[in-house]
Amino acid sequence: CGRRGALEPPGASATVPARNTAQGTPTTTAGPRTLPVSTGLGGGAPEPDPLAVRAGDELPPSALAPASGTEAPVETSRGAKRGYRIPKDPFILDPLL
Amino acid sequence: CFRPLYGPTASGESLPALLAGIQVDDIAMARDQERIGHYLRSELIFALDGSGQPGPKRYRLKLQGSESVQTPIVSTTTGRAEAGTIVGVVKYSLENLDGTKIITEGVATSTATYDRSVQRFASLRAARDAEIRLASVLADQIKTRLASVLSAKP
Amino acid sequence: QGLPGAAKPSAGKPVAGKPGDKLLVEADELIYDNDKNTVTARGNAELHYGPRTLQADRVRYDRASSRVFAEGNVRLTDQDGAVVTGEKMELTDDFKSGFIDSLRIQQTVVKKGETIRTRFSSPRGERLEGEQTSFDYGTYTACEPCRDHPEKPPLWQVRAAKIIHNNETHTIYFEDSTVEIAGIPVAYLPYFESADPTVKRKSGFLTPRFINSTALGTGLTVPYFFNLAPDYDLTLSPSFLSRQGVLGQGEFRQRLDNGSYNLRVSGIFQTTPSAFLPGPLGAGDRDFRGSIESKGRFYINENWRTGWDLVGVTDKWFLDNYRIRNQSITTDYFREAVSTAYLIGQGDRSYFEMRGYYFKGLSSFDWQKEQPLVLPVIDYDKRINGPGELGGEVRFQANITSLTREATDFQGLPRTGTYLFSPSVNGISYPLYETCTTFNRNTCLVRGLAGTDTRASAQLSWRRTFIDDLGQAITPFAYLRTDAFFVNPSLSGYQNALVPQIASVDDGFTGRVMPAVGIDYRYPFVSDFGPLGVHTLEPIAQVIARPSENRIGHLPNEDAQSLVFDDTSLFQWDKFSGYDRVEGGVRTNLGAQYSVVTASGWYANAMFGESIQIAGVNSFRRGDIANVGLNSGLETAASDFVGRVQVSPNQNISLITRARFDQADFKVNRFETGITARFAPFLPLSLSAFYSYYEAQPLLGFSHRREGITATATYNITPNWFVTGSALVDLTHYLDTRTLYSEALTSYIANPVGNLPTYQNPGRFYLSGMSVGAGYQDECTTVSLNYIVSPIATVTGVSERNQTVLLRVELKTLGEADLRQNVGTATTADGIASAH
Repeated sequence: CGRRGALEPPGASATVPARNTAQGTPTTTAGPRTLPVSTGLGGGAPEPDPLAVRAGDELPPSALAPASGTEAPVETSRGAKRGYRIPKDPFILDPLL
Repeated sequence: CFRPLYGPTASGESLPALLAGIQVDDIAMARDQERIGHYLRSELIFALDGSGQPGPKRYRLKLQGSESVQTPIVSTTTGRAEAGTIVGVVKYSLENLDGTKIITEGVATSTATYDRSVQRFASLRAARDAEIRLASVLADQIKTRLASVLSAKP
Repeated sequence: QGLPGAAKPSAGKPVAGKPGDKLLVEADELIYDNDKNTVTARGNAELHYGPRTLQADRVRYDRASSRVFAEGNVRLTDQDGAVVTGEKMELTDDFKSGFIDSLRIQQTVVKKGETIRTRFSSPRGERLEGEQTSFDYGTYTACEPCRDHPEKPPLWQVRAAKIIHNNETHTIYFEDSTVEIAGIPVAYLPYFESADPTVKRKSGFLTPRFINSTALGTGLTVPYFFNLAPDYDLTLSPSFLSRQGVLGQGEFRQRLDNGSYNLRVSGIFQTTPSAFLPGPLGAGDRDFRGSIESKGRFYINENWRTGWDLVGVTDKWFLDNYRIRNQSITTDYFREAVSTAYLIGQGDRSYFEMRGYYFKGLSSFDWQKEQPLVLPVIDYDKRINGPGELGGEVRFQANITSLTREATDFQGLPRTGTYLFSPSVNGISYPLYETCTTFNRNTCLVRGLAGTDTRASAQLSWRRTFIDDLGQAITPFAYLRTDAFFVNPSLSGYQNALVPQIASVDDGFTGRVMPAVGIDYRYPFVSDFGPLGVHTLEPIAQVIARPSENRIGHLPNEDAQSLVFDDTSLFQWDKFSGYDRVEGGVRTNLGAQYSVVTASGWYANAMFGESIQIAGVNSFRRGDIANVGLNSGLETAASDFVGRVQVSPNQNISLITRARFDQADFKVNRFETGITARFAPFLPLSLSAFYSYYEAQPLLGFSHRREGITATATYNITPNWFVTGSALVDLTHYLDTRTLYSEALTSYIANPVGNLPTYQNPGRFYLSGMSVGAGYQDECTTVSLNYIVSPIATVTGVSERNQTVLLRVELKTLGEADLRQNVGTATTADGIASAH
């Protein structure tokens, strides 16, 4: 069976995905998972990863309004920019902000 | 018993000065929900310090939040929601400037309702106005909760 | 007899293969046997060769044939962390190749914060050059064995005559394989291949999805994923529906440097159109139906982004009938497909948003010509600190809205009465597009004016808070609002010519200016009751002086039709929800707020207040062409009373209730209450429930009260089993039905055509929408079953009420799909995106 993973920016050169170089087997069992709340679309995704929450990329569960969207960890607007190359050049309407 | 909130606090400092010393960081709202983040931050900045005179900052207020819409009233005949209630949830934490100590934290929740009609553009603009009202109610709630904690802090 | 070695001697020995890689051997006892030229290590022997390690009870290294024979809980750790264990192993001395008895391989991958551990096992396996491992009669699973009795079969495993795991291409091939659920064979696959967990993206079939619904029959969706490149891919998902044939769906996703977009096309030649009502009530007389959806988002720079969210459909029922979009019971009742394109900029206290909109109504009761095309609507909000001594906050807001509409949207008072269009299907007539019975000022509203209406508005405001030494917070403020209307109503076609009978709408340019000054006075008191928390009491008074609003009723009202007077709008400077109306006259808003904050995280708040029109024209008393302001509670000089009570015992639970009490007899005119709660960790339950009650508003067309409940809950019975459900109950549907029936009866008696309308009372608690789901989920499986009941049949163009069953079975690492970036998941309702 195939696997439909997330898209990477075009620059990603690694054709063969990076090997997992973790030596030995980490003892942690699979991370706890949130439960599907909407009509069974997402299969319950991992809890938001604490590092991403501290970095402001994902929302902690306590900041989630009820019954919102699929169960994947909710990205913040900052997190949504992760992985993109945000151009630095000025935009004509910049003086407005 | 009751004394003016904006008088000297338990620690002797003046509360307006304490509140004015809070710097509101950029708010991490859920993706595509940045508009309510803008109104919430702008209202909070004025609520904490209405003088508009820039001064030294002593605390940092970090906020993360999201919103969702609920439709309790629907017309089953036409299959349309006739009112929408926006639920806003914002997690706030007041920390010292370098973020090493959390002074107080909590989750502010509130709702704002708008009427919907056959005209989808009118419903859309009504939802936008409800978002702005929700932002100012949340800002007022967060300011009152911070003021209460700071005024009682020895 | 060999020389008993001292404890832990290590014999380094240069070996063929990579130069410098030595085979290091450590063991309790080392026995050198020179005649047979072997070295035997006995007692937790450990052999290292480059990155690989071999551990066993006894290892015999035959230097002549350079083979290694290991026996007794043998454990080989590969360079990428995979652990191979077995009873007996015969390997080349670089451990790359060889045979293994009762072989088990375990590989762990951490992906997006989730640890996935896969396991291979088989009685006999063979390693080929460290690249391939082949298992005879092996099994593969991603499930953890049960701790207490590991011999129990895992939840699922794939048992195959031959499994080959190629470490170079990261692919697992299964030959003559069966999928076993809890030990019971469920599916037989002669041959299939899958990516091993280290692979993020690989072409191939994704997990199939099962669907069963009244209109579609039983269906199987078999998505196939083409991994064209790391930055773009294609997913074709044909659905084989027993009653309607093949629904084809293709989704292309691409990610560029500064953004991403996707495009989804769906289409079907439906084979049983009779499942749907015939036109114009449904797509029963169509055979080809389809939709095109596209979403894009691009970052221009740090503060600016642009994008689009477009949807085109062949008919208004397609998205519902074929469940194209992920719907929940909330979004089921936003019956519109909104196409928009935007440019958004956000800086420090500044926000710019320019959008275009096209609205496609998705309910049978929507007449497309009454929906506007809005090009553009621009919102701008900028605040700065007042310069120098002025101080405070100077704010500039602007809005430009330009929209065109073909047919005027009339609404009768009361709403039910006359319809532009009421087709009848096998004798039953369905009143669809409502309009007015008589076209005059007090029996007919204009919800949307035909023609072109452009307005440009700007507002400059200043406010500053002064806190005196008594602790009073005084906030003087002033603002100047200017509006320029360029209205060109179209009086030709449809019923557009009847508008002048209702109101004389200005044609051409109209200007409106509203200067205002005011003061906001608050005097908060605080008291610390220790364990009972810090209580604050804050009286609030606001006075605003302005000239009266002019041109009421002579201007279109497109964006200020919703007027909800409650605690959130009590202290707004302008209580209208849009720029088409502006509040005038001298008005005072009075109220008080009481809050409690306890150290243990309790928060409670109550507010109560009233708004009084002191002088000038009460903008809410004289309704405009949409009667906005009437029946709102503000139309009397002294307004209704509004109040709110909120209780949040901790971070996870909050209850909010608000109400509007009649000015004269304190009767409840509007009431809403909502609870959102996550009871974890005390109770594994999270729920949200909202109830609203609106008294009748006859001047807005609502002749009877409106009442409803919406609730959603998820409860996990055990850490793995969960139940979820949501319901939407329309408590006043029986009043609607009774009104429609009596009106259908009168029109039938007037001219008896078709058959006599019948009356079935839907009951007090009518279930407008419901979805129930249950499922199981652990580290290697997700199984979820959902049953969804959609809104009433005639709205979604189906002959009987559509009930859908969705089954999802997902075996981790076998055909997974990352759904976050595809079109169907994110839904926006009224411009509010669902957090995803």
